[in-house]
Parts: sequence; structure tokens; C-alpha cells
Amino acid sequence: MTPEAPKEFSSLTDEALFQEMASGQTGAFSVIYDRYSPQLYGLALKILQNQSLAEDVIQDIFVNIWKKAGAYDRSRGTPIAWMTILCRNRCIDMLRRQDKNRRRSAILDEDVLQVIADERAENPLENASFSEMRGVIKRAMENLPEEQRQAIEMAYFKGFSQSEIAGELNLPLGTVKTRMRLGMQKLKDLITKKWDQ
Amino acid sequence: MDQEKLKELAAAYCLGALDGDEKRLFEELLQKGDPLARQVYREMQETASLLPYAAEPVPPPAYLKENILQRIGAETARPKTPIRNLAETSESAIFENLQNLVWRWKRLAWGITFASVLLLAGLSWYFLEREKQIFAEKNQKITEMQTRLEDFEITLREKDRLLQLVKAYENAIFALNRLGSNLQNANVKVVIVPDQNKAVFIGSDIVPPPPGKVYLLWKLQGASPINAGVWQTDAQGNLVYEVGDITDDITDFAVTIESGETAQSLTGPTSPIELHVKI
Repeated sequence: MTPEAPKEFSSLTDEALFQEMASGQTGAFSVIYDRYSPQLYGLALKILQNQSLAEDVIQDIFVNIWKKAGAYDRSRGTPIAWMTILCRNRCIDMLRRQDKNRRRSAILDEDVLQVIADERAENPLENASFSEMRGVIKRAMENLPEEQRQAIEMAYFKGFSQSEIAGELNLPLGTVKTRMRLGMQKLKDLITKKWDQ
Repeated sequence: MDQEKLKELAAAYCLGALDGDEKRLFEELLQKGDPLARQVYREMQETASLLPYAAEPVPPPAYLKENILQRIGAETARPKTPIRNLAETSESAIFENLQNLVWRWKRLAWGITFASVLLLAGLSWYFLEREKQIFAEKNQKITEMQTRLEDFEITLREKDRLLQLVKAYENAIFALNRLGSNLQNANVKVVIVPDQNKAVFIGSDIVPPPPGKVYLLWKLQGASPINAGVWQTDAQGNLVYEVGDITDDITDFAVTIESGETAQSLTGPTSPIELHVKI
């Protein structure tokens, strides 16, 4: 039987829960887990396409979150943004370990994010619910031209570098770069437009 | 760098697809505070940060949470540094913290004691084993030396016996010049050992026999000579040759040069050796 999250923590914000975790409150951890594990597990499954590996990643990152809760810095983004980066990086690392022929390409590492922390973008959907956000993103992705969506998904969800995508799709590198730029630009426009409606 | 190129770099960077020189270049621009680079990065990052929500949420299996809680349970057992203000901490919490502290110190003390006992036992065993090994090695050396001493004593006794033989029994020196002109300087001493019924021939300056020939020793028993074997000399022409079965009816010896070592009668040049001691 899964332990229930204590009620006294349920009403706390993510930042407050992280502070409680830093002082050793497993109840606060339980609330964070219940709130975000479906989102992170879904992301891990989408990237890894393997239930067992996704479970390993979720275990590792939540143990990591517990250990590093005290080091969490609001300037790096919201707790869920930070946890999402941890999850995505861990999944891409795992994919690369499984395919040793693939070279290590850029991962948004935490050190670089710290350097540019003051440039951190505000999430335009920060105040939206998960389901609202998901709906907007999903529709925006569906409205992207197929080749642009493919380039974005191969990079973000499969961890391919631009040159690897060019190789996989047998395309000139310049074409991949253009598709990625146009895709991200269009995605931004679509999200903004949908949300404004 | 124009805006389109910057957008290209930023898009790839935020998707984690930029690598090598281009990644370093873009990070340098951000770190230097290039305003256009920062603006473009902000826009692209804003979009990229929403991509994870494209994944459908899936509730993980229930056992996963239990596993994770078990793993972090070990961490919880070690109290973390509380971030609460001490003034806000209740008396019971202080008491609990003190208890934890005492328990940790006790655990540490027991740990150190146990480790020390183990270390002492290990060191004692090591030194004991080493002493045993040294003792066994010394014992072996003593045994080897005793064996060598016994061998030496045997050799010494044998040499002493031969010396006594030479001194005790009458012996004579014989020339071998009758065997050939090249044996003018050769001579042979005969030592008779009566209690063992044997004779020992000790010679020097004996040149090798002609090619295909051997020096053959004969025991003379009346008119019947008995083949007593071939004299083998060393490279310097020295001879030590021992003959047994010297019975009373052996009256003399003779040396001849023969074609083969199995000759049954004296055919070649002969040098008689007379016995001066009756056995």
C-alpha cells in the first residue's frame, strides 16, 4: 500500500515543501512526489520508451531531489522546471549509455543554467494548470509542419545533436538547423496565440 | 552575428542539440552579456521549457514510491542540519536532538572500539604467523647445515682412511718405459689393501695410448692372466684405478697395450708390475 502524503504539507507551495525536505521532512517529500511523479514518469516513458528504465530514472531523480533539496535555488527556476531538467538529462544520459556510438551532445547542464540564471525566462503558462498547459502545447505541436516537429522531437526527446539528426535523416546540416529554428519560432507563436485566445 | 544565426544557435542550444564549437561560442556570448544573444536565448528557452508538458502524465506503479521512501529512509535516519530557527524549536525537539546526538556518539564510540579490537587481533595474528615462518626457515637451514656437516665428515673420514692406507701398507713405484719410449717419465704406485682384497693404482705422466689401442691391466695368476680392465687416465695423464678380488694366488700384475678391452691374453708390449706384499 502506498504511503499517503500527510495533510499538513498538502497546502504548502513547492518552494516551502523543498525547505521542509531540506530539514528532513519525508512528509513534504511525499507531497512533492504525489504532485509531480506522474508528469516526470510520463516524460521518462516518452523519452526512454521502456517502463523498467523509466522506473529506474524516477527512483534516481527523486532520491537525488531529496538529497539536493537544500541546494535548490529559486533563481534557477521553479521546482518543477528544475526537476524536469534533472529528469530529461538523466533519461538522455541513459539513452546514450545504451547507444555508445552516439557522441555526447549538449545537455542543458545546471552549471550553465546558473551562469545565465538572471536571464531565465518566465514560463508564460506558469499560472496555468498542468492540463491546460498540456492542451496548449499538444495543439501547438500538432500544428507544426511535420519536418519541424520531427527535428524538435529528435533533439529534445531523443537527445540527438544537429549533426546526428542530419545523419539520421540524410539531410544537409544547414537544413536541420533551419528546421529547428523555424520550428521553435513557430511553436512560440502558436503557444502565445493559443494562450491568448 | 546576425539575429537569424543567433536564433539558430539558441534554438539548438535550448533543445540540447548544439555541440562542439558552436555550443562554446553561444555560451561565451551569453556569459559576455551579449544583449541580443540573451534576448534570443530567453525567447527560445521559454518555449523549450514547455516541451516536457507534451508528454502525457502517467501515474507510476505504487511500489515505486515505497522503494524510494525506503531508500531515503536511510538518509532520514541521519538527521540533516535543521534550517528552522532554534527559537522556534520546542523543548521536546531539543531533547530529541540531544538524544540523537548522544546516540550518534555512542554508536561512534562502539564503532571505534570494535574496529580497534579487530585491528589488534589482525596485527597479533599477522606477527604470530610471521614469527612462525621465520622459525621454520631457520630450522630448515640448521637441518641443511647438519646434513652438509655429516657429508663433510664422511668425506674427511674416507680421505683419512686412504691416507692411512698409503702410510700403513707397503707400496712401490713402477716405471712404464717398457710400454713405449714416450712413457719414459710415466710411473705408477701400487697400494695394496689386504683387509679389503683390493689394489689401488695411482699414476702420473701417462700419455694416451696409440690410436685404436688401450692400456689393459692384467692380474697374473700363475700362467693364466686375468683381464682386470682398462686404465682410464684424465687429460693430464693422471691415473687412479682400483681393482678388487686380489686373492692369495695373484702373484703379480702387468700392463699391456692392446687393440681391444676384451683381450683374453697378453699380445702387445708388456710392463710387468711385481707385488712386494703378499696378500
